Amino acid sequence: MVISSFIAEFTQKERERVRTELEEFSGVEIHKVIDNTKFILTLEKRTLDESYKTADRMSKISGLTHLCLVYTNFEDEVAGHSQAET
Amino acid sequence: MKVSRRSLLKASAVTAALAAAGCSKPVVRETEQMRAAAEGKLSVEPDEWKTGVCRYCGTGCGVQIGIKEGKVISVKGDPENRSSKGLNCIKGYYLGKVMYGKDRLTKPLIREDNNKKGTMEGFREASWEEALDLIADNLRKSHEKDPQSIAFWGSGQQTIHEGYISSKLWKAGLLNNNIDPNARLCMASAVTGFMSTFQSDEPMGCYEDLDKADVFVTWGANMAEMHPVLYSRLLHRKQTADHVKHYDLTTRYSRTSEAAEETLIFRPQTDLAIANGIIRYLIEHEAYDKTFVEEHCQFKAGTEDLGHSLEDDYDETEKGAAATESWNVSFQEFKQMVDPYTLDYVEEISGVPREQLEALAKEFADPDKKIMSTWTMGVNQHTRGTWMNNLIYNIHLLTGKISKPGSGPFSLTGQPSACGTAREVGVFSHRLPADLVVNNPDHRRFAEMIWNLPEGYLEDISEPGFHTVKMFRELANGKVNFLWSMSNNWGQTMPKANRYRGVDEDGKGVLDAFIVVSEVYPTRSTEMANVVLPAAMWVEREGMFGNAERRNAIFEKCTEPPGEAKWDLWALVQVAKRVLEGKKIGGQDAFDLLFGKGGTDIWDDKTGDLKADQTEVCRNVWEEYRKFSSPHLHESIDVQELGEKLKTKAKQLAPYDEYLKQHGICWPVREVNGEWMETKWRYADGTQEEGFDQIGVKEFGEQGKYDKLSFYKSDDKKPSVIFRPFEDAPEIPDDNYPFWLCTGRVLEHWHSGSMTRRVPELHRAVPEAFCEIHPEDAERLEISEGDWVKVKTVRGETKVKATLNGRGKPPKGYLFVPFFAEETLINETTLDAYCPISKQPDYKKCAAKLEKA
Repeated sequence: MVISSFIAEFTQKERERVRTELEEFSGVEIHKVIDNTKFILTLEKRTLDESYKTADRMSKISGLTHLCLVYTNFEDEVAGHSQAET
Repeated sequence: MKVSRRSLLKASAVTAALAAAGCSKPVVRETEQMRAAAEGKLSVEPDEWKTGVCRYCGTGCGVQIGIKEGKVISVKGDPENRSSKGLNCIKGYYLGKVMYGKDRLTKPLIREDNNKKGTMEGFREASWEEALDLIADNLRKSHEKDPQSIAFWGSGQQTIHEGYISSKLWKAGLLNNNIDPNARLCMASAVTGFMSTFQSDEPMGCYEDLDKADVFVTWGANMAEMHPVLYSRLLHRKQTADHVKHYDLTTRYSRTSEAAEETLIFRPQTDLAIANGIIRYLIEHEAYDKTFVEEHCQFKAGTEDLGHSLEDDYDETEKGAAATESWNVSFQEFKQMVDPYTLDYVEEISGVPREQLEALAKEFADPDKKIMSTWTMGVNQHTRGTWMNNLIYNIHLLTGKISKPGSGPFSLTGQPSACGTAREVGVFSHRLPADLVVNNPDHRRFAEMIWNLPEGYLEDISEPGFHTVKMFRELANGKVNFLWSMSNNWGQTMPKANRYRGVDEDGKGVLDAFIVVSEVYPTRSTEMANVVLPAAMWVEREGMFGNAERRNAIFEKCTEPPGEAKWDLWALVQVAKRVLEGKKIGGQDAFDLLFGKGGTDIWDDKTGDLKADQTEVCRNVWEEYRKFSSPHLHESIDVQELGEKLKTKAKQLAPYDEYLKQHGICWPVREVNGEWMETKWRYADGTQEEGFDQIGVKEFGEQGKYDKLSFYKSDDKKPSVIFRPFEDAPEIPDDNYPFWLCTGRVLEHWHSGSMTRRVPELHRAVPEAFCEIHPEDAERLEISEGDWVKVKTVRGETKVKATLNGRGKPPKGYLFVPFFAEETLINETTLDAYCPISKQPDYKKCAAKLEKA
């Protein structure tokens, strides 16, 4: 399990459409809207690669002007990596 | 309420995002979860959070790194780092993962079969002792035979400490200026632009200008892909202020163009004419700030008709030698010089419609508008790169839009420490620390005093050494026969790569030279090595980067490097110990005077090794380096007086530990009432608490001047508005080579891809290089999407897949190929002609032809 959080900036008039499209991605949860310009959202995925891939796709949503990564925890992946090594 | 590890992690993630968004109050359910966690003693927190800085671009985003049982398990934006305020781009996902590629170099390698140079075959594993002895032996022999036959190629990815020690070893230890960084390839034109206009390197403004500007002008800068976090600030400003506009000046429609109100696509090289057109418009319409010009500016002209640096001896030619000369002219003379650049004329040669040019000029003409110009490689990688930097400053100086919150020219950087390391500690072949240069006797004397060297000791380095292209040309010619490169990948990124990979007839010297490469992964450069040293990367050692807004920030050591990989600084000092063995300086042991107790004090005599505590080593290096810009704290009156005369305090730095406490500080840093305070707007009077340059203006400038500005580092306290004409590119498309070829980067891969291509998802996102072609050109040549094509120039050819609908949209007659892919060496086709002043080569334009493969 890899959990990340983002600040997603959107065009105000596109707010609801951007929200809908973001929430169509599995693992996305929108927690708060700030200044009517930013969503605070989390993304839960199995691996870092899946997380990156989803974030990359999210960043291409029309009306989502920018997606900034803030936090990511990949402890399970590190543990899995270590187990695989041993 | 049941609290799971998952919900706790989400609570932590949301809390971090809220903090980064400037909202400290968690939403209700997260608060409940956190309370429950506290009661239940359930924790998802790492054992320790350490402070760091992203290791990719020059933005210098602060990160906090979560460590558990010695491993990096979590990364979050550092809200206390004032450059990024808690934000990262999505490359931040892989900050941890880039360290764990399967083919990390973990043992020193020594080449046994020189016939296999150019491949990773022919090496054997060796001990560090053997590798270091071999390096030192070859370095010593080459140096003794011909001091000019040795060279060091450093990097804007070396830490400040590594760069400082490299420079001190080469300049003071070996009395040799053949040391230059890869920053010569990315921002040397910015340096010479700053120095010729302001006599002080680096921007006067800061990232906060992005939050306040009314108009943004990007000149040859694809910020959306290369500086995503800064671009998000630009977009946020536009989102929250309806009147804000963005003009994108570019030769190819990019992701940055997508959100710009106006995109001005110009014929390559004619940005010189566009800038002059704006200047002429401002003067013609008397729309410049007359009082500002009268109080703060002087006018100059410089050598023109410089020709092009295509031949090895260009620097010694009459034109090459006179390139840096300039002289004062009157405003009237300057006005006459720009007179030919009417908007009609500029439209004719640039291809940009007059209406667009006039709209941009009118923005600068509006005295009430705050304008921020940003630029990167489109301006710097340019055979007239220094001139383009000068011209952007000219526009901002004429309109007084400079050194004010929201208004100013801002040169962005490409590497994490091109400013902090390459520029500030003196890794360039002509520089010493703190804006000092080797060919100034006072500057050398000052360095001698800081380094405890006898008077006149640095006389031998009074002439600049080989700049990067010269260094590799001499390597190719066989004159340089010892090269050590660190934190770079010249085997892939040097233009005209066939020569510098020993393929061309005039490049065979590369094959005979003894080459050391310090690296983390096998690259096209390690293929060229005789010895490969496995290096610790990013947070596998302690370090410090200096970013584009003058912010120096520490990253703590978080984890051990793999196998026998070692800190580059350790390797440098180990070689220094061997090479300086038995040498004396002023009767004292040379190594001890430079790096031992008599100098930097980073050597432990008891263990016979570098001091074990990396923080102590870094602190000692920093505190010696800091003496250059804090002469008032030195015990010697001579240092105090000469430092005062040279105004080195203009770059004043804080004590080392303060940088960890504050999570990075922008220089000059001033001590006010016991607190160390940064400067956000240099030369601007105002309170230090608010980020203005109160102490600098008071000590070195004049208070009460117009707009409360005083350019105290400039000659006569007046920056120079220098006339720089349009002169065309060295290679222009013709019937045989009808396309412009431009090279560059993509968001997913950082520079030559040696790190990011080890991350599977980044690799999958952009797995191979491509050639962007205009659909009409493709149709004419019967090329379809995904077809293999050959890009050919007079220097070589590269096979690459075509794309007609990539993220960049080239105009007709224009090709773009990224350089990240080591199997697609596009630099086999590029030109190594450079700006005659900055010596930075132009990767953005040469003549090419295209064939279906």
